[in-house]
Amino acid sequence: MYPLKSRVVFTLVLGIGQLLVWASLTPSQISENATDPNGYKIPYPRVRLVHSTDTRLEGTTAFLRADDPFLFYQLGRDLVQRQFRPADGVDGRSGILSVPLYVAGEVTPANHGRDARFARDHTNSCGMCHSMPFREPGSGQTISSTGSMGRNTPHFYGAGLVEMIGAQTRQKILNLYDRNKNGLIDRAEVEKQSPVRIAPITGVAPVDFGDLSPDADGFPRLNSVFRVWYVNEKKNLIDAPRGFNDPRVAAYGFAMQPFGWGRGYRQVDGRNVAEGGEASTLRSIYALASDVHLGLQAFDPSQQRKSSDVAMLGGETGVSLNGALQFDFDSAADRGRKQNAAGLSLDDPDHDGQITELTEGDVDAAEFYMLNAPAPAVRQSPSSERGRKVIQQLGCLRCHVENWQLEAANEDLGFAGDRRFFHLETHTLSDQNGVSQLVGKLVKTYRRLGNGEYTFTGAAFRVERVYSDFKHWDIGPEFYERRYDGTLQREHRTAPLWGVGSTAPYGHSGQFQSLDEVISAHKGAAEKEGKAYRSLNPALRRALVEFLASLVLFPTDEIATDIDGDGVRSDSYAVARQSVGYERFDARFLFKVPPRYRRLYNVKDYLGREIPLCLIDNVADTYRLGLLYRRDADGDGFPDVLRPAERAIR
Amino acid sequence: MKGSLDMSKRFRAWPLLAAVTLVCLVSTNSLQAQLSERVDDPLGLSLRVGRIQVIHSDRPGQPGTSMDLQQTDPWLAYQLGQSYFQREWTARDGLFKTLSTRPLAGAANSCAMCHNLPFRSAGSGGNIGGDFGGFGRNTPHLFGIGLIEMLGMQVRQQIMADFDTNRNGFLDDPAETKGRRAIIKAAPNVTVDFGSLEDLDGDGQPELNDVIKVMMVDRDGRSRPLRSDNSPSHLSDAGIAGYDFSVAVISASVAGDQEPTIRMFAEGVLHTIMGVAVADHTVTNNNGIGRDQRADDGWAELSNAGATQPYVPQANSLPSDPFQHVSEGEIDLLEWFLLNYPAPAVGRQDLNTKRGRRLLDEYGCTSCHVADWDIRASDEKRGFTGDRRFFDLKVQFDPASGKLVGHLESRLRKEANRDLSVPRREGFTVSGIFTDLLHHDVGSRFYDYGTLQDRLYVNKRFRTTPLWGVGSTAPYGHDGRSATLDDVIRRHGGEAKESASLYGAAPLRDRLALISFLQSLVLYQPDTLPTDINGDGEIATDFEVQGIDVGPERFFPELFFRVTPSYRGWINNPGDRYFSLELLNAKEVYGHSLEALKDLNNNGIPDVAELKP
Repeated sequence: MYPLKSRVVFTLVLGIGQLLVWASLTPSQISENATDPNGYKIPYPRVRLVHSTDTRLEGTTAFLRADDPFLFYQLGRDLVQRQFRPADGVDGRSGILSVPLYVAGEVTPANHGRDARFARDHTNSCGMCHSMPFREPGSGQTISSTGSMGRNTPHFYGAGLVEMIGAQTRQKILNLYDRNKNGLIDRAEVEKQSPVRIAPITGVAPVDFGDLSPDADGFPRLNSVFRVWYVNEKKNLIDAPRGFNDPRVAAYGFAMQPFGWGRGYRQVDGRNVAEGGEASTLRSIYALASDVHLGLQAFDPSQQRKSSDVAMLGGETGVSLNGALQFDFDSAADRGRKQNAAGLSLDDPDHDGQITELTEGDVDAAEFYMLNAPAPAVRQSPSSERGRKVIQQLGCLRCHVENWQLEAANEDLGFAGDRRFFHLETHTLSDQNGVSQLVGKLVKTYRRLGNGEYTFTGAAFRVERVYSDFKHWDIGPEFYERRYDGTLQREHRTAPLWGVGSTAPYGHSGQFQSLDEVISAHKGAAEKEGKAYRSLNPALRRALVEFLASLVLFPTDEIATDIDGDGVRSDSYAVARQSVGYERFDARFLFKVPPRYRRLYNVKDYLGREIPLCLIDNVADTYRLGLLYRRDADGDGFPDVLRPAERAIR
Repeated sequence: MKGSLDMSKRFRAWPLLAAVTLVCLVSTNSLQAQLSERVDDPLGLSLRVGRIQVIHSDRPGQPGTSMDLQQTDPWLAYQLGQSYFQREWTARDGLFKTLSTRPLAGAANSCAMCHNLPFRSAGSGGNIGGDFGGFGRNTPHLFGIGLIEMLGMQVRQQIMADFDTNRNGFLDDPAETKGRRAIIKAAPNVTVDFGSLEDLDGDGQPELNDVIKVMMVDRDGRSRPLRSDNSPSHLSDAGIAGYDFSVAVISASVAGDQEPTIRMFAEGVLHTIMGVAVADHTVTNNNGIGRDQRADDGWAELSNAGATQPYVPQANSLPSDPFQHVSEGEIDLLEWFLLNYPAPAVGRQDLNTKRGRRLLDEYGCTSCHVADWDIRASDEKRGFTGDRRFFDLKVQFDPASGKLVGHLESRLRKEANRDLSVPRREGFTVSGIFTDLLHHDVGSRFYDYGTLQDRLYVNKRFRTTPLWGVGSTAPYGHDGRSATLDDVIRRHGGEAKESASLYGAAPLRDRLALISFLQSLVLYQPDTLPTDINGDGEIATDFEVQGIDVGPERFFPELFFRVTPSYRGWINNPGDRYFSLELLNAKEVYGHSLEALKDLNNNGIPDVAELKP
């Protein structure tokens, strides 16, 4: 321990000193570094993960999930936070315009640049934009999108719950109208008016998602949060710009897309075509964002239809390792047209010389992390709960629906139940000075099978204080977005308000600097509530804003948390007999092979808590780098054994 | 393929499309940006033109070169500088090229990727992980950065004016340092102590605050930073006559990452974060020839924007493709933009915020978060440059509209008998900045740990954060670990212990008042800010330039260009009438028909540069 006198090092001399400065500024999001005494950096090199559904194949994703779920969570988290390198395939088309303005659009030579949305490959880590709080599923930067006002980065705390709400809502709609249970809406099933009213919780006012029966143009009258595709008699997807008015169309399928700010509608030949949200599933949004923002293309058969002759957007592709029904919206950009014997895709869509930049196994891990990512918290102040009543009285909850119920697993009804392995319960502790802090309790929602494997229970779960109906609404001109092609996007998704206290600026463009501004701007469909807020007396306005400010994001691995279920948040928690400071949800503490921490020095952290600075002495063991499908002796980023036996047999 | 969902075509066509896309990119010079580059953007908020390397000049006369642009069309120079800040640099520009060993890929392709909130401003952003400390650094905003640079330089000039009595350009030790302290007057009745000029503890360095970077010199003023064994020189070493220094006030929160000038800071970021090469003679010339005053003294040339630059050795050789570096002229304009970048705003004030402002004084916060600093008027004898900016934008809350509004004031004067405009270089009071520019130890809760050459390392000292804009820049602290203002205030200890305990012990009402004042110190989007730009005391809803309606009166640099922009104007769609700011004469407006910016072969390099051998 040599706490150097900082002045000596930092009294840099001009000239030579400048070189030192440049050298020390080397950027990173979370970089690889096994010598970070804070333990925040990723202490092992990247090795692509191998997908399987066979829990016996050691080191594959099915194995890791069943055998060492907190390691699997951490591996997913590291993929989301990791700063990828050129050798991983990051970048490649930086600055190139090839992301179409519309979901199903294309960038053609003739109109090059006119309909493109933004340039690709801005950065090398998801964590670059999802940066606040740092190293977490936070919110962050704004980037150019369909127009120059930009899109603000939403957080993805609780993303798994959102995915499950979307999937369950779709299932409930099918349960109402899909009489032949083919997963599609056939002509005969919606000949009459087919209103879609889904109650977030039984007995609560239902959310009106529209109507499944076609309008005069042949399209279902669903809210634009749904994406629709059409199939013929043989259930093959067909291009049907006239919907049910095209006689070839026998049925349509649909997916709810609760992720993203919403893309509203676009005009096609005078008709409004719903553009959906950004994605339906965690896999989809991870693969999509990795491609367009990082230049990493995922080869993810889990979300690609097998038959290559059908080439439309949409269609179910089966259930993922983590239990989510997938659709093919072309999110995973590496289609694996050419594969080698080991099952790697050789396509290299961005021609950067790197193949299979993200594997199906990588997407499994990212999906598991996002599925289990803790939900936002409520950090109450002595008076913040007062504003909750104001919000109710103003009618805000009509769209900002407070709670949603996830139903328990029920095979007949097609419900999977809560597919997470745990959730992090949080609440506020206040001292006598009114200083509040969040504390947590890790609630395990997994169960062990007879052979010791972990799986989810599929119980019911109430998603509390999410504050969204996940619909797209037109709430007035201050929220409109003038797109590059001159058209106007009027509708956006009801922003889930959880976390809103930590995610300024506001609006899909981040054009509002404060909560007061963004609420005041509500008009259109929210005219009544907006007006009520604008005419509210200042004290009640403050109460309302104070309440919203209590809906926060937080450092999931740093709040004091009871992780072993003994009812106590210990001040001195031990991992493999080494004290690691106060008890908290650092997933590594729960690895099957516990990290062997070597204490370097005790320090006070930013809240004055004592914690030891540590290094991990058994990185390879604790991250299980020696398992058959994890081993990478030549360090090329691919495991030495790549192809699970089950695939070879197939 | 309107509305179709046919993907097979898309896939089959992909390789061809990619090839065509590349060709298009090269042939039309259509680069994209964090702010996309789109002439057709109906909102007019995108970048308007492709990048053409700007040729450096240090005097006007050659149209399209950097100094000529700065003095004949200062707003165009500003806006081009802004475009380098907002641009998403691409592989064609040589992005990530200088990170040749590439232990880590570049983190981002645009300054604006981090300086991002509010969008399209030089605002704040998320954390950048660094080699030092696991939590990295939270991105500070750059509003008012020019004023900060000028204050730092003024501190140096004041120390030199007061203590370099023999006027040899450095402080002779001990003759000019013994028993002296660098106490600087910030504003009337406010002084800031930058430390002792003398080496009090015998460690060979003066006891100056960390913000001051010291450079040992010999009797001729030549820099002698290192001994023969590469350890830092000491004042007591043979051959060391004294020291020179710079005041490194720009940007980061730790001394090691701070720079004395905007130019150095910008080049460092381009180089390390984006990996783009920079060719800048202004900072690499320390040979006493041309515009460098003295060889080997650690100082290079005076930049066009008026800041003497510390000498920076050329970092490495340039890529062979001549387009793959940022030119000296482009750096000139980038510096010009940042120098002039407006300061943060003061939002709605009421009795509560006013009370909060008083409490800042009462608790002693303002002893470090010094509220105001004066920039002295140009005074050649004492080395003061005056306010080098060409405009000031004052942004305040307007009770009538309930919004922030700006008032633009030109600080230009016309050069006699010439069609040139140069800054007036008057005095200026920087009000509400709330920093002493110093580094302090504010307690262990801010300490930052890392390893350096296998040694555990602690950094204890951080700059006093300027509080302007603080209402818009959560989360807080150099590491962004404090979620709220209340959290970060309570985190203060060490030198700020007393103030922090006064705050902690204060009644809730007082704490809320203080925080509501801090929350009123905000950032904003300049390009949409309603602004009185013509000084008539009003903000027109339909503003006219040369008789042409250009929409609401706002702080939109294009409106001040030498060549009047021509916009597409009103578009009448059914149920959707709007004013399109699609620019119809982009080339002329953005100077691309000026001699030094003509680029007939569209390769991004001006034709005049290509004619040269």
